[in-house]
Amino acid sequence: MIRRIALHLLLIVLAAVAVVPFIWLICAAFKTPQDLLGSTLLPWRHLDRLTLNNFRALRDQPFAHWLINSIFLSSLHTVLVVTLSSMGGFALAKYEFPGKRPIMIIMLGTILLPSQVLVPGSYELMYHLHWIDSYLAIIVPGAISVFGIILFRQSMLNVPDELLQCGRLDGCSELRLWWDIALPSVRPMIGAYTLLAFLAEWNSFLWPQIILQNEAKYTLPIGLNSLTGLPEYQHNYGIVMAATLVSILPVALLFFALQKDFISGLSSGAVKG
Amino acid sequence: MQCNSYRICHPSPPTRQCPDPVQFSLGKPILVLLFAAAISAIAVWKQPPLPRADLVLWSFDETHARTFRDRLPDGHGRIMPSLVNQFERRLGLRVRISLIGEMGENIRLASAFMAQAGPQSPDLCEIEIHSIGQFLRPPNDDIGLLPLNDFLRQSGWGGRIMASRFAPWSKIDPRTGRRIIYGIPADVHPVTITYRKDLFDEAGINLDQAKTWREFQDMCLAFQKYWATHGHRDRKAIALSTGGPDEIVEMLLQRHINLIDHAQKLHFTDPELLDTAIFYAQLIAGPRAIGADVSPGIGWTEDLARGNVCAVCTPDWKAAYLRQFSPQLAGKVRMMPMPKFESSDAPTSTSGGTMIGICRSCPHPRQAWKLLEFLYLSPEAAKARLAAGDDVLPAIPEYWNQPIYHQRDPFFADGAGGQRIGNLYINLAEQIPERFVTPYTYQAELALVAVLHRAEEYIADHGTAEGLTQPCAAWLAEAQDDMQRRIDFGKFEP
Amino acid sequence: MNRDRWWKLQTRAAPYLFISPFVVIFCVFLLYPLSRSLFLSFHKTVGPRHIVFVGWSNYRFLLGHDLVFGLALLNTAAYTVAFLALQIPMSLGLALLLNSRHVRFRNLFRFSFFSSYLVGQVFVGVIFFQLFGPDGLINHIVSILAGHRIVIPWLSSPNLAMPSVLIASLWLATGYGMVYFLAALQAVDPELYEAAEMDGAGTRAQFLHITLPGIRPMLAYVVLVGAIGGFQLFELPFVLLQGAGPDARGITIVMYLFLMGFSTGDLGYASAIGWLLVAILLLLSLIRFRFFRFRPEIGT
Repeated sequence: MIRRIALHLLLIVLAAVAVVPFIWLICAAFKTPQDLLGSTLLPWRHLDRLTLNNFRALRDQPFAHWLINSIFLSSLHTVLVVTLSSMGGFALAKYEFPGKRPIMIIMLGTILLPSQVLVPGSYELMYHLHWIDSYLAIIVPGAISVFGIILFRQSMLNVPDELLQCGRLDGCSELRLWWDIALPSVRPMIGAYTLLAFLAEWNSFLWPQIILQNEAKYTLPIGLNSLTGLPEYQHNYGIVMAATLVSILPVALLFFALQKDFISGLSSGAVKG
Repeated sequence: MQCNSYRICHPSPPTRQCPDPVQFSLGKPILVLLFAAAISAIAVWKQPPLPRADLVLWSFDETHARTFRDRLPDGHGRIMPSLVNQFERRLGLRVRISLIGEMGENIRLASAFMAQAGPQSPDLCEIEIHSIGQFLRPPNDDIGLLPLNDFLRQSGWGGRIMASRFAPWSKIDPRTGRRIIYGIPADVHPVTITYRKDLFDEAGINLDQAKTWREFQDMCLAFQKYWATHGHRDRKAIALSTGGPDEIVEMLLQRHINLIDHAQKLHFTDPELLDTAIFYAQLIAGPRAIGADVSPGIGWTEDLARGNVCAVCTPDWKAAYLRQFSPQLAGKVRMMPMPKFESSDAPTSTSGGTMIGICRSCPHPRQAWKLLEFLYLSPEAAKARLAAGDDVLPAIPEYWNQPIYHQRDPFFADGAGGQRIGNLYINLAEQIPERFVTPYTYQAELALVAVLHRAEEYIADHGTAEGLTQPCAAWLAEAQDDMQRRIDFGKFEP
Repeated sequence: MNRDRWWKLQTRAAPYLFISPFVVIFCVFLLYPLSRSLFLSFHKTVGPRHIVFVGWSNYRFLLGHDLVFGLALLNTAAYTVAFLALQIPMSLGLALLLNSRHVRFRNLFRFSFFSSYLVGQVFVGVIFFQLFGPDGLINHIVSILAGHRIVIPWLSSPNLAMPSVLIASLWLATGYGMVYFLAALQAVDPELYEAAEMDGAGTRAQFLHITLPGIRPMLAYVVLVGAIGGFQLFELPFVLLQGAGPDARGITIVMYLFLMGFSTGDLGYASAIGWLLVAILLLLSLIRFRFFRFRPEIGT
């Protein structure tokens, strides 16, 4: 019994450490700029003078647009990248075909490359495709992920060949083998990677900022950044905090609502390396 | 049955029929996201496309974008049409102002200027002083911005804008020795020192009388001594960064030293720089320290209000923040010119700044110049700036006669209805030193800060700055050599 | 007969169809920019009309003369090692705690630990920028613990710059690692533990011989993600330290690449930095993959 209480106390303390910056963020979002400055000392000072002004100020910005854009891009990105990565991973794990080795080698070489190296070349390419200020420039290159494909290949190696073979004898096409046999057996990988891919796109910063020009097309991080401006000129922290809070909510909801699927998937088999 | 290659296993098609799929194999999360994407796609689809525009301006500065795009009060209770609107009506051209994060704008411009292809860059752009260096790196004929000398001469604006403010945005033509100007300055940004008059008064010190930095330091030490015995042992006299270059660069500018000048010459081994570095190091370390770091962002206003630090170097854009974020300081602070090292120094410095320029690829530079003139130089622009609440001093002296720059400001105490800080800034603006920016300036500042750190450590170890001259000179020489190597390596010899 | 041909065709073409979207997008949107940056890394350039082939000179200067690159490399490597050395045990420890049969409200705890990961790097930078201030929350807590006012110059002292970044990123990533470990732990067959208990194996032995092998694939995954993230660290320190930080001690390789490319404007040199990083990582990964080799046979 004592051990059990001690365990919970320890967990509560650790959880408190984990969420303190979060609480600070929530407090900050409801404060006037003056109080916010005072609260660099204490998050809980002036709690009697909370304000919704920061959230009201967001209404003056095309904030709703940014939110919807972010939801659209992140969702579509995740669906595409998970589908294509699992397909590619299936091909690389379960088939022998000429060209497989070179593909694998090039992939492994590029997984480590920092994306910043690609920026000038990519921008030029997008210009020639007339994709500047178009979501295509974000969705199409983002539809594949070397990292994702490698993950799916690794976990699909575990799909027993016998199972596929039986499927073939049952008359299933290769596409159906992928859909009905391979995918269900790597559910854990899908759950884990979905979360990873969604968050990465949701918080993606550099590339959308380079590509998007129309303010109505901005995503949340880009929009927020255009509000903050230069660090030395930064003065509307409260708004930024409010916006950050609002921008975290959808992902938090997604995670909370689906955490069973994300994690039960994970725990049913773990990522089988 | 074990098989590794499908070819061996099915030479012929099976006879049975595959059962219908029973599940969504990608799982519920993906299904949910698929719905989310479909629904949001409708909203995204319905968004209006970007209207076509004859002239496009990229800006990173939210205040400027507001000044250009917003309908603003004209001071007589009416709302004026926005600057852009007025311009569009006059010339029948459509204009678009795009507000872009600074990092994003810089990367886009760098990529666009690099990639010959023209139309991907805007017609005009605003650039911040810390970012201009990289764009001036190419030889003059390959810089992505258009030289503005001819426009300035023809329009007569050349003589009406403060000459010293062209410095950051211009380059010397190596053949003719002529200064080629690539940007029009928005501001002057002279620097003063704002201090807590109430606290200094209480300590019996009149900081206004400090004309040299040494006097300033002595007074501040006396000030700290007073407060140490009155319950504020941590109280520091002035905000000076220990990890950043801001204040020491301002002091060097006072002495007319740029770390790298417009001829790409390095000045690390300048004896005055050595002197300044050692002086600065003992301002922030050792027994005679009077400076401390402030909180990040605009936290300095709070630090000043609490009396953690009691003076701050204030370019004009910082003064506005003080009023906005520490209203409780009204009547308790006062502004003074910066103390000097020698009589030939400037009593002020300059910090920050923004320019507007025309891109070389712009197909209609004349129209672009017209827009630039209207947004930056015209009387309408001067009015709109004030209406947008931007009381930073413009770089055009003839607009300085606006009453707002001369009225008493009760926020700043002088015993009689408030100090005329506008007058002070204007007075100092005429004396601001020239500041140059090169592609290597940021790296040079980092190198200088590294030397400062070693000097600080020396003072902390020895308890005094004595004997620091020799080693510090050696460190600076080292830094100069390294920077020189970098500049030589990066230099372009076609 | 027709069906026969279709069947043969589809079995033969299947892998190509599966992989083709990837290959097409990869070639157009990755290989082109990639080759462009490789091209640039052997050139000196300042503008469209000034591009000169300089051979290996960018790489030579980087390796021979550039102290900042050395510092960035050292910083990045030290950060990555420290990050993994701290994140893995912390995440695993948390997961072990939460995995205990006695824990109530597991979902809530799991969510609170994980929540920090929902905040992007940029915003973690913004938040910790405030928390680390001279009068910020962290100094305040330290002061309370010490009993008198202490001002630790988290962000302005060269020696603390990288540790500050590390603290912020651990806050960001510990819960994330925990979720993955927790999932792996729950997948370990409970019968194994029962059998071990019957054999009289202690907690330690159980951990070493059952738990660790059981979560090994997940361990490899978390290490790989962490290592890649560590070597590509950029946004967090860039926002937190407002650039390279005091004395440039917060500089990372990707930040240096970024500064050379987009603040100094030397795209050729920046590209060379990127490719050198790839070369170094490839070398490292040869070693790393030996240690943490993906082992498909485990867990089947």
